[in-house]
Amino acid sequence: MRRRADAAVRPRSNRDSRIGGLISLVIFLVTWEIVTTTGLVPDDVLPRFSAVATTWWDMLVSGELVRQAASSLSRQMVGFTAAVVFGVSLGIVMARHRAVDDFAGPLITMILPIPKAALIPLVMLWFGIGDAAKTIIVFLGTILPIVISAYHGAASVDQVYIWSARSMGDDRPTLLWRVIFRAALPEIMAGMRMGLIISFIVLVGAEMLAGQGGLGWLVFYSLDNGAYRVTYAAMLTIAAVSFGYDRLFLLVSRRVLHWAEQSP
Amino acid sequence: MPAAPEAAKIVVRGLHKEFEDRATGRKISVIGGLDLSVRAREFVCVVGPSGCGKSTLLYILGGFVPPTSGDVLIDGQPVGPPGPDRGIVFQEYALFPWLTVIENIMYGIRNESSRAARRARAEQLVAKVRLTGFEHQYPRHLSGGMKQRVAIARTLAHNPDILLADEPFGALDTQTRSLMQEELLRIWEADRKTIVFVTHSVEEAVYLADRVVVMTARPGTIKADIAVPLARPRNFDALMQAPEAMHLRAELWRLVKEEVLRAGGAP
Amino acid sequence: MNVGYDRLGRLLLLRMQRVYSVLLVLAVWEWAARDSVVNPFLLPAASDVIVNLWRLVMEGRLLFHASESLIRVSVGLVLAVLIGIPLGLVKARSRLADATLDPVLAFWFPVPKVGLIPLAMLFFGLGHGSKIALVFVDALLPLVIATYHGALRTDDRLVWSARTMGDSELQILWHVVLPAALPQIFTGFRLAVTVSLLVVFLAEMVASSSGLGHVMIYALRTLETKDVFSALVAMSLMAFIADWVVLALRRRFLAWHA
Repeated sequence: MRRRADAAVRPRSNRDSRIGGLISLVIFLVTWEIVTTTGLVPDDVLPRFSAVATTWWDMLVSGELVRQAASSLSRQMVGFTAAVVFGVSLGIVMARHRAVDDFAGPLITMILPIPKAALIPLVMLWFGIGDAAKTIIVFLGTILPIVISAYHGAASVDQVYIWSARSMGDDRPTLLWRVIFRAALPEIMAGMRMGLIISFIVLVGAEMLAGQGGLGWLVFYSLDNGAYRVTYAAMLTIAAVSFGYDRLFLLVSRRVLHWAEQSP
Repeated sequence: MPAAPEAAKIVVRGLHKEFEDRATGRKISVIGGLDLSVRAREFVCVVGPSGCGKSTLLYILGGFVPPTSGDVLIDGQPVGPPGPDRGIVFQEYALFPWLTVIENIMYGIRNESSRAARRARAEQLVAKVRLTGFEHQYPRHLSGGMKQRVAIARTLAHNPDILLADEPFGALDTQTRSLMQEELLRIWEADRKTIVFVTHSVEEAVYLADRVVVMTARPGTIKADIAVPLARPRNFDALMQAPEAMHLRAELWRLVKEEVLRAGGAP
Repeated sequence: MNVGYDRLGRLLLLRMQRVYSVLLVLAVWEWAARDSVVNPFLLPAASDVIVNLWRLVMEGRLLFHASESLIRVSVGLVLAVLIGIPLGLVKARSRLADATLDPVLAFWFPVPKVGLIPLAMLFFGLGHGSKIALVFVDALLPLVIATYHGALRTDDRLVWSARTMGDSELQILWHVVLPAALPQIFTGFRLAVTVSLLVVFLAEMVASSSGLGHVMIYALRTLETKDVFSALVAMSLMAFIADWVVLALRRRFLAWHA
């Protein structure tokens, strides 16, 4: 292992970074409040934080925010779960079976450069603008990083693990599930996180373009109607929801991979 | 099938193994006509220069790699796919990092008999390799020597007839290494499995084996087959001094060195 | 070189093996559209898409829109590099900068910055400004994080050697830490380029009157489905070329790196 640079950088404690986070947040909000109250930034472009916070609270109490967030999250969860199940299976099978790799590998190489944004109009053309279409967008947007990480994880499983398991009597399906899947899990989880982050990008984009409810729609719809406070409240909600989701994923991932040398 | 005490457990006749070099498509002959016979309950060490195919021989016995031609018989039957009748220990330990010590040891017997019986067997093995108290640790918390002891216990769990060892102590420091050799002998003397043990250390071979097989440089064949007529149980320190053992070591070293030089490698 | 026909044949076979599925899919696509197995409105034939792409290029419209997208991505990326790399270096070398930046990065990294499109529009309008701002915000984080990790992994002994030879902190940063971090920086840069293209096209779809994203969404709204597919091919080509350029730069700057 190479050593770190000699600067006085040590792993920060959790407490340190929580305090740091709190301080940054307070500075950010105070700055926001000051530039708006002093008129440095016109009020119609950037409402005061206190006004946005009031609006946010009203929308939370009225259930509007929860409804839109639930709408977005249900689309995300169905599409993402499907991508994980299908993507991990495909990636592992590709890594262990030459014929599948020869067939699917070049196809994936071909569609890999397609910017994920381009999926949105395509799916809208084929599947319309409803929940199904957005779920499909999330599915298509997230599956490639998951397939690729599962493929690399499963392809690089150390031969001695496989031989050990076989000498202890494992047949192929058992080997795939008990050894290869588990050995590939750290890479799979890393790919899943990539997919998770992309899922929110394409979902918010799709909701902005196709409407039909959801947080992305709320941002855009309120902007069109000049209800800027709602726009800002909705943007903050998107940030909070996606951040919380990612934290939760990291927490689960750390628990699942507690045996690994390095936690993500 | 039950074998007579003196029957050959493993018979290898005219074994050839070729690999294809992916880049050039050229065939590389790794083992070139090898004959070997190992009796039941015998401890055989295989030594030879790097790349002489000694590990490949072991993988063929394990059923991981198919021979190009020749016969490989175990209990008179052609060698089959890998299975619990032949346990293998690798230099890299190959412990599953996502399982604890006890879960690793129980891996091969997880479908057998009752939970309690499995547990008891595993506990007994943990004690045998002196890892009591470490049952619920994950491999990343263990030292190299401890990892290798878990790997040995895991292999012994499903009670194989034959133990194959691929330079198991090659990655350990000198002190740990000699402790592990002692431990292996203690375990082996208790239940006398047939062992084929690949090593590049002449010293280790003389200390452990009933018989040392020296392989030639690639393509590997048997250069010499030398019995080690030293009484058991053996004591490492005494053996370092014993003239008989010193003579054997010198003889083996001379044979290996000849092959290293022939292979063009710097000694 | 001694390459016999035997070997040539094997190579050709290998090549075929590597693309047969792509050819198969293209053939099925072409056939399905030509024989109207699927509605050609929903899936125009592959050849029609290519011909249409060529037509759009010839009319000059496509190149104009592609250059609009390219300008936005390039300017945003250059700004992100100019600010992100120094930020990453400073974060790795100063405890104060690390403590300040860390929570900000931890928060912003997983958040979809496309949610900020309205904000960008309000502040920077519907033209280049808002897209450049979005590309910048999105490309910045991967660059800062990659530079930080690369700089952290600099071997202490290299820094010590430079110091004994009389280098100042700034010189060490420039001559030792930056080159040592370069492999990681390129990995981050590659990700930044991918994300930038995603974001710029998305922003152009949502609010713009130019750029490839606009072309695609406009084609969808006017039901010119051939244009939808041609725009998709154009975007993919642009992404493919961008990635190729990044890898070429990498080879050029990292010749020393294995």
